[in-house]
Amino acid sequence: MHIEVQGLTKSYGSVKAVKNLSFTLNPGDFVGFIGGNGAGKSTTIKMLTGQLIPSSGSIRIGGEDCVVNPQIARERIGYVPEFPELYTYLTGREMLEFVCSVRLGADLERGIAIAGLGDDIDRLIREYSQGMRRKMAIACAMVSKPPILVLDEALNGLDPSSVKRITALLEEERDAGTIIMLSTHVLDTLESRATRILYIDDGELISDCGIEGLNEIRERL
Amino acid sequence: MRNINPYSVVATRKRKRESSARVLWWTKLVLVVVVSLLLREPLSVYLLNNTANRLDQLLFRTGAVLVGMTALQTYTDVVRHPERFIFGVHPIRSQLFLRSVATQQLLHSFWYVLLSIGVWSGVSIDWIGWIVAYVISAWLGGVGAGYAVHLGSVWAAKASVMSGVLDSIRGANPREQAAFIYAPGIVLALMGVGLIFGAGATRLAIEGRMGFAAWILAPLVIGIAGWFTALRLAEVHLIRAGMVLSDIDTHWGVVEEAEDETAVYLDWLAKDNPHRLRLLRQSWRLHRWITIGLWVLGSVVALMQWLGDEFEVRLASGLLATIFVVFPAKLLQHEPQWLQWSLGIDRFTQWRAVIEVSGLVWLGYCIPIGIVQLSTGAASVQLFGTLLLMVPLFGLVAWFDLIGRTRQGVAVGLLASAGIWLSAIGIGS
Repeated sequence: MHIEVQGLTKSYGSVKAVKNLSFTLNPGDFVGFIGGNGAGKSTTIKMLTGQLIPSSGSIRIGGEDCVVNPQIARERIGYVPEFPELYTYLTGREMLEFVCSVRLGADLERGIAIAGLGDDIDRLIREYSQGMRRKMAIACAMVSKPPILVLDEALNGLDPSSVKRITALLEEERDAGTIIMLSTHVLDTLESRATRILYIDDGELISDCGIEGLNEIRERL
Repeated sequence: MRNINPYSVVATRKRKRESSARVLWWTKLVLVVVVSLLLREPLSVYLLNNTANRLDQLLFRTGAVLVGMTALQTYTDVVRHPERFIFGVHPIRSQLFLRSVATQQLLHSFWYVLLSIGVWSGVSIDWIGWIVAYVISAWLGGVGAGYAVHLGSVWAAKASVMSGVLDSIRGANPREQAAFIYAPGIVLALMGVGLIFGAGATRLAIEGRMGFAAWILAPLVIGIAGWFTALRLAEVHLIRAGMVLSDIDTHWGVVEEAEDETAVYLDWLAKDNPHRLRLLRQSWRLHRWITIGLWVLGSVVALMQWLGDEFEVRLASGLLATIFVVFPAKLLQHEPQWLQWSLGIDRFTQWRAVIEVSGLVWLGYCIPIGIVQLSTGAASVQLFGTLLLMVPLFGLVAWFDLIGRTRQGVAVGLLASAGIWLSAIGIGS
């Protein structure tokens, strides 16, 4: 399954947050999506994941138009927002049960394993730390084994062992053909994992290169 | 598993686990009983002293209030749902979602029905059955029509065929916002026709003329048609509702940032008081619509005062004051206590600033009424005394909040305000 983005633009009055972005992502791509604060990363991600309507341009996932039918993006993309929100009055297990009932092909046990919370999975989410909540959000995004994963600063606030475990999981998914798009300011996370780098600045795609271009971008940032 | 509505499961667990729901349930029950007991007699006396035509008017107003409430709440359900950032990152099962929010809506808004029936409970026993039928018809009709119109407004927000109309009425707002702003008015207009027929038919039935009794269900029929329309519209437009709303919110975020807006309402009153200034900034930048809304409503009520309807002025003031009494808790919601503590700001200083700012915002409502009262020579010391009594209530709510008893504070504030205003309205009538 491919993602084809063509001429993607988002304007608010005279302010253009994203300008004429075009790229294609292929199965097995692990994309580092990077840029400074306010570069337009989150706006782009929100359009890709069916949270925002583009002002112009097209997004096709598996050949289907997600601007016309945003439900396709929500079904095919597992998305972890920068500030994930959860039903705090549910337990972790109940939260995953909810996600399993709205996402086709989801497996509760897989979700519980990804969350890696042990017995805490049966505690109310309002008692969770920020890191535990983030692990839950990642588990919710991955529970149905979607063909595309979009993670917006998803590894922030996780302890080193959890970062290691989650990145290993992401590598497994990449090897199985899942498209992974990881937006992060921690460029070291991308080294040895990412296969491509998309660098945007001021809403424009500045560079679409292999991982070898990371050092050059690091200097620019 | 497939037969269970996941959104309903979540809602049921929320109801069972959130202690605020229980406090709110009891608060609502007490309010319904108190308001019903206090208003049932004045309403009956009013009806006895007036012509039968007044019955139509009062029934219509009762229905309109119910529809108005449900029009606003159905908007929240399908467009500005407070949990949209949680379920919105996943696919939406539109019909299941709509059924779930509608069920919750019926459970939550049933209090308005009880209140309406309670207020009418003082009339003759022969009337009450017809009135109950009309009230339920208006309520269910409002819910069904509300969902249809709000989902329709999502379509209108992005439909090229509607762009001209929306551009002509949007003012400084984004086009999409115009579609949302006017939707509750359209619900009222749509339901208004049904309510007129329903209210008229109820009066005729009470008078023993049964030929038109079926028209009592006119609002309900509109609501049922609305509900089935909503189910169809939800398939495409429910998922887009949150997207359009994000557009509007981001638009305002970008525009306000671009304007680099630093001016704050009444900041000249806080030049030497950093705590008051901080709260004024918070109030203006996060809850501006409350300040503006109070001025607008104050002006509307001042107009009612000018037209000489003292009873309605008190009733409107009481309703508004009882809603506004939660404002200090809203202000404190954005005041992290650990930060106050680490900055060495004592609780009393913070408390005083909350009372001052709540009072200053509340003045926006009081000033237009005061101007009209003074200019017409009809100044009511009692009305102004009651309006000013809100300030100690702000202090009460704020104090409960500062000691970590927010919900109890809100409950006490709501009940105290309702009690004060009902006695003021009772004396007035």
